[in-house]
Amino acid sequence: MILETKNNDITFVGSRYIFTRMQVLIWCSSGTNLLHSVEKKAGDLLAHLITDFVEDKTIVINFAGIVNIDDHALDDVFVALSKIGRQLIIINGYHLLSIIDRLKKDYDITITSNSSEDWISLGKQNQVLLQEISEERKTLKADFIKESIKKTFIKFDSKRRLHSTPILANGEYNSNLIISEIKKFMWMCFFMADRIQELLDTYKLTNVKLLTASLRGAPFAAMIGLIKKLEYETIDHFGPKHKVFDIEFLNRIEKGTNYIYIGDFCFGGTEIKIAKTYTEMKSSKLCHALVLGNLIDSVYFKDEFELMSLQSLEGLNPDAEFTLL
Amino acid sequence: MLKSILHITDLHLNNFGGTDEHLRKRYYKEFLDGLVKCITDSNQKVDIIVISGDFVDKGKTDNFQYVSEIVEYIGLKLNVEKSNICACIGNHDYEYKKEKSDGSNSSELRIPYKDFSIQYTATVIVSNDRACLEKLDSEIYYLSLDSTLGSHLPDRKGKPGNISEEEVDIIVNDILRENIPENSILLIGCHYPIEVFPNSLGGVSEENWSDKHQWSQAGFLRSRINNIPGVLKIWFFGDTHFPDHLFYESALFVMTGRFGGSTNSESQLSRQCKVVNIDEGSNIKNIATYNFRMTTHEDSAMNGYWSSEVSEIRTIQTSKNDREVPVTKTPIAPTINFDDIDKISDTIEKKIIERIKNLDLYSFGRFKTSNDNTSLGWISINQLLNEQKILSSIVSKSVSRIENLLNHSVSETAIIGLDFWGAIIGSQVSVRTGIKHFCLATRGHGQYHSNLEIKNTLLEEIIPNLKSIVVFIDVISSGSTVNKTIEAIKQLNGIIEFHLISVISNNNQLKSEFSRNLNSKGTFCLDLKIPVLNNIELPDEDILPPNIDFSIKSE
Repeated sequence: MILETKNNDITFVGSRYIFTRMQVLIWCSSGTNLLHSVEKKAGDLLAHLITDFVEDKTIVINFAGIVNIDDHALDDVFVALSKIGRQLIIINGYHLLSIIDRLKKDYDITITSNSSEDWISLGKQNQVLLQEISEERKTLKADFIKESIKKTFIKFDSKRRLHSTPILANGEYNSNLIISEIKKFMWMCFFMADRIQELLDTYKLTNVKLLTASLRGAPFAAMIGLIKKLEYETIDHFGPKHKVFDIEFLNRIEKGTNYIYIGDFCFGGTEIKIAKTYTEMKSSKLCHALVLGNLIDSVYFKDEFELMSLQSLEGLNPDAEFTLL
Repeated sequence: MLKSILHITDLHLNNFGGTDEHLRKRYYKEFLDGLVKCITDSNQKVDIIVISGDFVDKGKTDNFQYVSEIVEYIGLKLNVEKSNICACIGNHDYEYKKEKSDGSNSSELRIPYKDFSIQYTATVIVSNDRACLEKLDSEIYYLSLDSTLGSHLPDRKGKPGNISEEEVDIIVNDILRENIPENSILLIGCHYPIEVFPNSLGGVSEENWSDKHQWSQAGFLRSRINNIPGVLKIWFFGDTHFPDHLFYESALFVMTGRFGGSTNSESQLSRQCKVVNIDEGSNIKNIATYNFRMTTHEDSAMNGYWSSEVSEIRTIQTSKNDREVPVTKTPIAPTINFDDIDKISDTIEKKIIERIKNLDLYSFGRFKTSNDNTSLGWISINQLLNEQKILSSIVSKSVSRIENLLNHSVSETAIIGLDFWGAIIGSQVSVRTGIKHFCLATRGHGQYHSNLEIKNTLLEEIIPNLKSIVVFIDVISSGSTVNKTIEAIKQLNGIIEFHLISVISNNNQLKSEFSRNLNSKGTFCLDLKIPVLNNIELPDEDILPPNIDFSIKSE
């Protein structure tokens, strides 16, 4: 079987910029063994992107989470940049400037950087308009999340009560439609991982573990764990139909741990409440939950836990009807 | 002899005037018209119809009058004469609850069925309570067997009946006496399957399934009939509601999904029938399967459409002494031996075993993995695979294996991740390979999961276009979970190659029937012993209760 990474899966193309992320390139080219270090395969994939796109757009690559670059990993990138004359902007990677400078060796590449704005520009030297980059990136990301989640809504033949929550619905948001689409699954994992980082930074949380208790939450939790180097706990399963097959999970809940619940969609929050109860039985905490989409405003849960989501489901799809019973 | 035989079974007519059956009064013609159109659209003809029992539901013998109406309609639409419609009795076709334990009213209770079925009788050669041999034409014979007779005995209640050696002698001698000409066809209708289909097939949905649904007492009868020389034998079974067909003991065995029944009883299996096509040389040409595809998440008594597909024939290898029945097609999946199971990486196996030892992740107890089997060992897979290096290595090695082993293109392949860890590994491999990934819940046979978790409609939509599927699962004990998944997919596309990758799999536990469905099987840990026993070999559960129980419970 011939395996090939599709450019469309690893990039977002805007009007002026093409956005990608180094950890995405590492995952696609080398796997998840060393998600925090750039190997040659990932560098080569970036070089392909530089040469493959016909349009003269600047490539913006997010180096968040990268701590090291292997020798020769960027050789083909430097070759491609000098050959094509394209601009490559690295954001969130200023800490790697000295390594990049060293790896540049004799390649005829101009490198500029800005420590306060945390960018490095390589190759063609157009002015770096960070505000413009941020806005286009933000818009592309928001549109992608919104459209991807909106399309997961599947209508029932008639209204029915959801499994875990007293909500009468005419359909259901089905995250299988994200899990089975490589681009959607991969990027949603990174977007969720970014939210986890924000959470860690805001609350200065220590002794953190991710926790998931549903089949469709598990792929996200495991991947976010790898990206953020966080341990994760999978419990089979609290929802949507509650049935715990995982008989030993209570023994695994460690005292004093800050659990963050990871799930796909949250309607009434039943699974999160169950998970919170179990963790608190063992003197741990579950004060935060992150999901792809939530129906009920997070304010509703504020006394129990902080619910974060990539997308609010309220009003997202005009066909969707949810009524609290 | 160019013949086509339609096999229908398990109509289970319950409430003809109701609304929850496809064969209800106000819908059956529409339902059957759709089937007939699908049959004719696929250039298929039908010469003979075999219906292998359970015409009515739960002994409601008053319903035979309506079943006659339905059978007559389908015969009319397919232009099949009544004498070419063959029937046999099922366990629902008499008032079994009234059957006395001494068997004194067994014949009497079967009278309504006999009155009903007599209209479909051709030229009777010999007949008794157990069997009836008919001659349909000069080259086609039909043997109807009553596999329910003898179930009045206390130990056989609700199960296939006992059969004596004397009865077997009589049946076989009656057939031999007829001197059936060479190259003729002997059709055998028998409601309960006789031993051939393995326990692990998808009908396993209740306690002691095989004892209740396999007529193992008649294994000797099957073998002796199959030894009759020069005649093509085709067995038609019902009862299990589960489809399969294969060659074994130089005969063809056909088991078909149910044709009717209430949609209120939970099942993910579609209504179904099959047509066995025989070519001019009395060889099995192929089998066409007609499925009533649901267009809703839930089983519905009307929302669906008929679709057809043609399957080739599979075989079970038997000893060299078996006479061979000519087959025009080769098996679709090669039989693999236990030895063919690959250990994917010695290094990863070592790491897995070390971690299990160091963290004491192996528990010994009674872990009931299905209605039939119990695993005596249990691995805390969550703690094992939370070691990110092990997980990442498993993903990377799986990618290499797929790249090296599979010949089809990425778009012709799918990954299925079973349960939590299958889904986690599958999703990560999917990103590396570009192959679409679908996760499915199978533990507890899906009864504790939502519809969206056990029925992935996205997967169902692409299955007809697939050529290979890679299945990921954490631990294999008896293999019944994987087998059930594969068999369900085969209903939608019979020619898909299946490649299995597991984290832990005990080589000597695997059943041959399980391996038969696979084109390759790789595992990351082969040397860890996890004994699996049939439940009947263990003490009762009130003496030794299970630590965990994945069997199906009636709720």
